[in-house]
Amino acid sequence: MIEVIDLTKHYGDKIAVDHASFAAPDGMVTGFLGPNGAGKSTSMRAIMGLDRPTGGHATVNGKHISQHAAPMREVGALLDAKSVAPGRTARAHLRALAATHGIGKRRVDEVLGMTGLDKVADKRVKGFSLGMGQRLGIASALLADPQTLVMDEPVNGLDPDGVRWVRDMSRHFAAEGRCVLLSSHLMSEVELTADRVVIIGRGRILADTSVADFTAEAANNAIAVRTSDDVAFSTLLQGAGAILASGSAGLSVVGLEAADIARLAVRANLDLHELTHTAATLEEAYMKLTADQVEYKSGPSLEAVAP
Amino acid sequence: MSATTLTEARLSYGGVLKSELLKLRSRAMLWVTGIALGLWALLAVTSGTGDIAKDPLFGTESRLFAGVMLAWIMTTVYAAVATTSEWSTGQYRATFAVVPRTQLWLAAKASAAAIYAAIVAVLGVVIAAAATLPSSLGAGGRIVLTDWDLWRAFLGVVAVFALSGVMATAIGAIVRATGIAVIIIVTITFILPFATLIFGAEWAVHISAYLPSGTADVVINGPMFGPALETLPLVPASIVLVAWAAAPYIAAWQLMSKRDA
Repeated sequence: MIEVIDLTKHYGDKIAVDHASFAAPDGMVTGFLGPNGAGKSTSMRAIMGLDRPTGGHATVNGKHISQHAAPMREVGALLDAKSVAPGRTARAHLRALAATHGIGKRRVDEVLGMTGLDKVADKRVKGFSLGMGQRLGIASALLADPQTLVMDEPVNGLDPDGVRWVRDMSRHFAAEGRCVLLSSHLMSEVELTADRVVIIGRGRILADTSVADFTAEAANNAIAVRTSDDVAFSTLLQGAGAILASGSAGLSVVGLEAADIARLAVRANLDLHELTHTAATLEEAYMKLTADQVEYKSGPSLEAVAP
Repeated sequence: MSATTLTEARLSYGGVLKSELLKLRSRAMLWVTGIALGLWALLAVTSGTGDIAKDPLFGTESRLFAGVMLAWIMTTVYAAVATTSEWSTGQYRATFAVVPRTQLWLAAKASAAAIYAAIVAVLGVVIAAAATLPSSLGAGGRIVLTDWDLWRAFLGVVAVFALSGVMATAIGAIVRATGIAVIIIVTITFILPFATLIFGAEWAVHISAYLPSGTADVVINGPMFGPALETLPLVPASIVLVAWAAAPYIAAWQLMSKRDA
């Protein structure tokens, strides 16, 4: 389990993380989301002991990572695919890391096989693609079969097969009762992989909840309704205390339960064509929450600026 | 490796030392070491047999150590680059993620550099002996394996190389930038001694005695005195040489516990 308690990190005048507190529990995949420059990587570096917090602290399985007898057994990390001397081979890189904990060559060969790098194990890393670099980073993280995984953008540069492998591996880890904390800008991927999300913006934690609750809350628990006469039914619904927002097709109803809406339709002798709870996607929920937190805003799309 | 073995995995000084020695083994190391040893042997051979006629023992032994200087500078620079490359390549992220006790890493990195440099020193003497002894003995020279001066010189070279490996690692860990580390090391091992020679002033000669090359010279060759030449006695020179390694190491040790990785 990862616990981040009141973590603050300043780089000179810049506040990268501002009194952030959150937890990534065992048995779950926790997605760590936020716009560029929000403080995700800094928080992960603090968890791994690479950055010394200005205030607060981060623990892995109850202790600072440096206090564990075997840090590699507690947590494996992929922080950047470019964390390898380019002149070294993949096998030499992993052997050097494994040696720190007395882990032998056989395990190195195992993780090379697991990550699909066995055929390029003796090639220099400088010839690796981004995806191969990611795989090597994941192999490093898995070397000691750790209780906790911390991965910063693990699917960045991976092919679809690799993306699926990371997803399955993360789910498998969580199913074994282990903790996975991963950051990604691919919302659809996080939605498929994560049980929980922690969202950070401008260094502050904006949300720390389950994916299901987060998306449901973003959709305001609205119910999509279509009947044989939406105009007449909207008057009835408003009379019953509902708040309406017109959807692209039909009505979007907030403030009434689905059963009440159905009863009203039956009483009004209207045909009910649709009655469904709507949920926002993780991306919609995330965009809604972080709209004001984006530090580096994109310009208008090419279509919008075209003459 | 079975799961049972993995559960026994522990972070240890010995493990990190092995890791750092593995990292040192590279194509660059082979090149640097090869060139350093080649130059050592070349300088030993070209130093000639002229001194043997005056002193058969000293003349023979001094040829073994004629190529120390260049090999020493190259080995020291390589030790610094091996440290700064952690940061220049981004390797430090992977290293400190598995060795979060950064001071333990510094100790192991410095030890690995010292071991590597000491091995180069031993190989240098052995290769120089193989390259020069036949011609030296043929010119009337002689070698006495129980001679204290020979052993002081041999152990001195090994100690100088090893301590310089520690110094270079520490400087690399402090500045974390290859260019700056190389400039610092080349300045204190090569440029400053020459600059003091060029100045020739009394104060410059005095400073020269305290530089790594001045103290190393005493540890290897023994104290010498003469016009425009001043060296420390053996024990103070040894202490100053150790201080050249210890001071940056202590500074790096302090910084490792305070700075971000």
